[in-house]
Amino acid sequence: MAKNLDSLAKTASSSNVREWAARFRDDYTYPVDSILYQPDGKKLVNLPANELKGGRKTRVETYLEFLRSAETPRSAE
Amino acid sequence: MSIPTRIRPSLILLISSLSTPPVCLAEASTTLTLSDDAEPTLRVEAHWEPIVEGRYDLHRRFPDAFNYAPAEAVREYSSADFRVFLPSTAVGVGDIWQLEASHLQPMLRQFHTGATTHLRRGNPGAFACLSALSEGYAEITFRVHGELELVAEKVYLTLSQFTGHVLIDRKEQRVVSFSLEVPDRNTNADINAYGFADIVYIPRMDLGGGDASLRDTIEWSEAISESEATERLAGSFYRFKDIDWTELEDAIARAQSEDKPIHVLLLFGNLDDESC
Repeated sequence: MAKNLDSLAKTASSSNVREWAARFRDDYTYPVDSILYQPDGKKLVNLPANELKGGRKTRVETYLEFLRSAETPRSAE
Repeated sequence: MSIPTRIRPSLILLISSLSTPPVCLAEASTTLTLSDDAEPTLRVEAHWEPIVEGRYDLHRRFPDAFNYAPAEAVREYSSADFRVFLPSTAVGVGDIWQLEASHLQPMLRQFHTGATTHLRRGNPGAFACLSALSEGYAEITFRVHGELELVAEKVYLTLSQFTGHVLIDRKEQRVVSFSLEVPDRNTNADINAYGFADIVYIPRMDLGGGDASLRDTIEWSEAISESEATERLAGSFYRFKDIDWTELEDAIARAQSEDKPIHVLLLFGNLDDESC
């Protein structure tokens, strides 16, 4: 959970995890956030899930469904 | 809508607790029944403790709105009252079936007369799972989503979920133990008061009756674990439970080795319940 990020950033055994958790903590916007990062840690885009259409959790579900479809290979493309 | 291949996230992270539920049906099926006797046979007690923590402590700004005393501290139930949990067809251990959520409202109203399974937002519904079976007993694990309208059209308390067990004596066709609770997890409820919202923690909110320890004395012929039943029920509410979620450390390593972006979802509460 987002509220545990600070603890994770300070106490995780992996330095890589500590570094990324600190990044998430600093970038996080309450209550639901959605962020795309480059593998080197640079923030690409912030996609605030709170602003997606639909009801609270429905918004997140819709968003995840969208991502699942994005991960599905499209032979026509 | 399509996304350029380069930008497609190869990984999805979630700062929350999730796992993927397997879905399979048991080979043997059993018909579960309960007596239609309306005579009260089970004394069920309600407990509801105050909110102890909130992101904005909204509950402290409107103290009159939050009445934590259960509407009925004790209620007597008959076996017929629990027939709402039974499947309409024969089932096997591990099977899931949908419940008519509105039929569970009378039980939720032991907490508050404004309890409803009609959520203003989110994922409503109720599902049950046959989690254990023996010749003499059957255990149903269930989950229902609901909220309490504490002040008409002004103050709402939406619980993360209500989950519980119904232990049936199959020979007597009666319920010998019943539990329903909001899981003790910080955070586990959403409040909305006069247009303001907050996410909070309620340490205890439950109904319980009968001898819960009886379950542990039964020699089950077939059973699934508590966590497995929980995951199967959660998967019935949320399609995203099918996603193969990746642990943070593995996701970072994979993103770096495959040179692909990481998509991170961050929630103050839990994704797989109604608290956030």
